[in-house]
Amino acid sequence: MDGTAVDLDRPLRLYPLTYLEEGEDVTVGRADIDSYGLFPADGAALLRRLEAGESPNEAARWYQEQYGESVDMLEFLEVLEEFELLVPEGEQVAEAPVIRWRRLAQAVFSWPAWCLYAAVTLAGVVVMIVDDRVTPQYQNIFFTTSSLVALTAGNVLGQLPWILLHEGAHALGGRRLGLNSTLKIGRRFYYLVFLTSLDGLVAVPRKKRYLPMLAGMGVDVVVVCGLSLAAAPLVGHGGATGFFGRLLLAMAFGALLRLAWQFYFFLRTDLYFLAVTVLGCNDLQTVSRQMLQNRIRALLGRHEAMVDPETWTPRDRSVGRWYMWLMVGGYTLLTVLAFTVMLPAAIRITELAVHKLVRDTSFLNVTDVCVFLVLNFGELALAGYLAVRGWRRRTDPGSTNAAAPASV
Amino acid sequence: MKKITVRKAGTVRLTSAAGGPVLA
Repeated sequence: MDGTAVDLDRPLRLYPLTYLEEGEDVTVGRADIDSYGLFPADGAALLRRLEAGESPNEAARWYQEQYGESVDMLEFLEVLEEFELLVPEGEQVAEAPVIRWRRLAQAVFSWPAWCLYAAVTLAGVVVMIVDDRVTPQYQNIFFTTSSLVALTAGNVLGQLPWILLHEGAHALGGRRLGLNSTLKIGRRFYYLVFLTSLDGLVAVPRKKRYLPMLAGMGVDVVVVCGLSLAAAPLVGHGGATGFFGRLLLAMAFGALLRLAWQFYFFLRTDLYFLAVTVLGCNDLQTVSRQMLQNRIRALLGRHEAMVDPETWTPRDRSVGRWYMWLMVGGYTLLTVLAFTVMLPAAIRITELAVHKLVRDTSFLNVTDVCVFLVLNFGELALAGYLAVRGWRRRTDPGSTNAAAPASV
Repeated sequence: MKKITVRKAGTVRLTSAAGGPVLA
């Protein structure tokens, strides 16, 4: 945008904006496209003048009177354009998107529902303590010895409904507040993950963010307890009844492992977002990574490639000083685990599968082993594919994502 | 002339992570 392209004496058109005044900055943005910026108080006040219908020149005069100095209005308008807050010439403002499932969301988080969740959780905990057949233990994963495919499908695909329930709880937590969300598949280091994007949470008061953030883990707890409770009367039986009981316990243990995975907070899990909210940070992971990169670049003498610390919020910078070392420790731990636990296990599983293949080359056995290997390693392969695709997009200068932060 | 610095707000992505003995 330059001075010739915009008439500074004509009011500008802005999209409907949301303002959140909390802490030093004011979070301003568009809920329809989830584009939000942290404005200083004077910047937000200036934006409100423009939104009220003042021309840029009138708003600049108001700023001069209010703060005793002139403002670089052209640069401010460029910022507004960058955040897509200005309506381009000749374009119409689309109607606000409809928030679906809002009534369901209110029902899911109503008091009667909370009483039901508490009852299931309490009963599940009691049965896990009293009946040692349903106590969570890793042996529960091996619920069948008849087929590798049945075993792996039960453990891999058997988690899908509970994962969707976990992500659905995040989404409904957002809908309850009038926020839309999207569900995607992504990657955290070498883990394949399901992701619910709820960027609109940055524009609601902090204390209202906790429920949508913790709803997923709440679901995991209720699922573990509910499945254990349902399995208790079945596991003592033989035949299909006993098999179904053991399958329920396998799914409960899988859900428990996914719940434990949330404690890898350095992978930006739900607990990371909870901690960031409690600590009052904005984008701690990105800032910590950039601080680390700056240290390395300073050591290498590549000062021109360093990130400008002015782009970080003061809170991110102060927490990042110690968080970056936690992050390094976490990634180091996962790397060590990959080489000392996962790689040997993967080699052993492949060896055993090949031996089984050699012993019996019937069509059924070959299919069983092949599907087993795909189910076992497909997830890891997909995570690898997403990593390579992300790296290519970031390093391709023509890509729109070239400046996007790395997803690790 | 005062320049107004605006930082990009962080994103929120809530996640969930997506048979040797039997073979033996």
